[in-house]
Amino acid sequence: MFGKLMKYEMKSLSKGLIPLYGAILAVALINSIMWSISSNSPVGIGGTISGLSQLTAMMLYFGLCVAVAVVTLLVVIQRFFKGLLGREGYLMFTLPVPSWQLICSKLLGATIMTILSGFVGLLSVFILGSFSIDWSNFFESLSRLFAAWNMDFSLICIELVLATIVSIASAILQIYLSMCLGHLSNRHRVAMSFVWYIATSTALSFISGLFFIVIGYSPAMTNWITNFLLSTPIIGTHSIMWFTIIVSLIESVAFFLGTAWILKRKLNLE
Amino acid sequence: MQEFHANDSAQGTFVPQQKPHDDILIRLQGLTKCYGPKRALNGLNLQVGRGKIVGLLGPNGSGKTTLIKLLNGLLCPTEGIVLIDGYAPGVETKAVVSYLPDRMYFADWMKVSDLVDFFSDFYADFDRKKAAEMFSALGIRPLDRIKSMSKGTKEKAQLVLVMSRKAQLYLLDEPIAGVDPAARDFILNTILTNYNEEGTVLISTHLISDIERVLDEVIFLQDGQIVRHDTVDNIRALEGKSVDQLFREVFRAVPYQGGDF
Repeated sequence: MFGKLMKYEMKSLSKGLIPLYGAILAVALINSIMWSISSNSPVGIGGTISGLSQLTAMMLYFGLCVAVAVVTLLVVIQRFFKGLLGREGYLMFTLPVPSWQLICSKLLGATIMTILSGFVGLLSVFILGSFSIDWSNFFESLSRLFAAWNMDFSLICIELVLATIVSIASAILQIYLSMCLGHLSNRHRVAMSFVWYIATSTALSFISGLFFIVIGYSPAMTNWITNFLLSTPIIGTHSIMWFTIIVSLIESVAFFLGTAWILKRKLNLE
Repeated sequence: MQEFHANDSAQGTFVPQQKPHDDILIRLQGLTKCYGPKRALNGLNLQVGRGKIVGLLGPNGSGKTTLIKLLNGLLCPTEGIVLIDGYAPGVETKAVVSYLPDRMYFADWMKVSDLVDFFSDFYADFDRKKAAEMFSALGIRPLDRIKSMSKGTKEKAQLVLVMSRKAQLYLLDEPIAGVDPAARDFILNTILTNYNEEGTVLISTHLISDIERVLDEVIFLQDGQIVRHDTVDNIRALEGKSVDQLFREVFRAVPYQGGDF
């Protein structure tokens, strides 16, 4: 059943986002071509016109980059708000599927799309520089740089990927939980969702602030941590990465359980 | 009173173990639903059997939609017990309940063929062939987009999907409200010719004269309470009048200050 849910979730998400991805990549390509034309043409002849169109294309590109970020966020919110808490919820919540699977399918779909949006952003930068920047040279220098450091980067790469995925999931689940909490009110549900988002964010920063204050008050603790980070910087870095991953994971689990509990026990569709 | 309900609920949960297929399909015990301070349903007790067409009748705001949503698990009861086929609303009941809500529940991007795929993916009792036949009888093509359909066509499409299932319980919330009389006949005929005869159909409406002829039983709901639950034959024999006439008497609006006109 979960596979079927994912199938429809990805279909639905891609309807909104794939055209936008196409647009941003196309505009990046146009930009890159314009760049190479203007840099090859003799100065003076047609310089102003190509400069102007180049500027327009650049602005369009940056506009699209912002659009991808905003639209991804909006689609993630909408797929949950309209797809579960709105009228589509009447269809989804009467399917013979447990509600935690509904949340998981939304979450997995949203996480995949967010990562994909990031990739498209990155890819568009490469396309943008494809004619004017010598990428092979760039990568060669980069690999020389890593070789000079003479370190194994595979673990830190895995940690970075994990940390990215888990923090995206926790950010998305925080939005889901806020919407569910907002939905418990019988009126002003959208406004209440915002209020709950601010409330959960405040609670999180309060907890992390409290944590650091507690650590800061204990000299032995701060000394130990400083020594640990200074004496073994590599292990220290890994520890910080895993600390980040575990904290995000705990947040995600808490947000998920809250969301699942509300949708199972307190479902309140209009 | 509270304890009495608690006892009842304890017995109720043992029903599936004792007799998985007893004659009672819907069982409500002390069912109460509050929206804030307002009581939408107030201590309903009800048993509905199988193979029946039941009218859930009452004026606007009497709690019909709330009751149907509770049966679907779209709402959670404030107090009391809901059992369908011995189970509280959940994955088991949703597999055997076919629900027509009082609104459109499709995603805009879907085509008719997407909807048919969706229903056959999730409901084991969905009959693809039946749906295809009904769609073509209505002149709805598989590649038609939901977004571009008229409101009436959307409602018919939704009904086709709901009635193409061989469900144990059909919950139809106001299927004939807001459509013209010709469409009303089409909808009633679709329901009558397609429902699973071992299953029960629960139709909520306030337009009684149109559906009276198809009903076996009626439930009168007023201010969140069941004021009458009887077979149509009994009502005709005992009261000597049609359900529609009885409905008008039971729910007659009392003129302000009881004054005459």
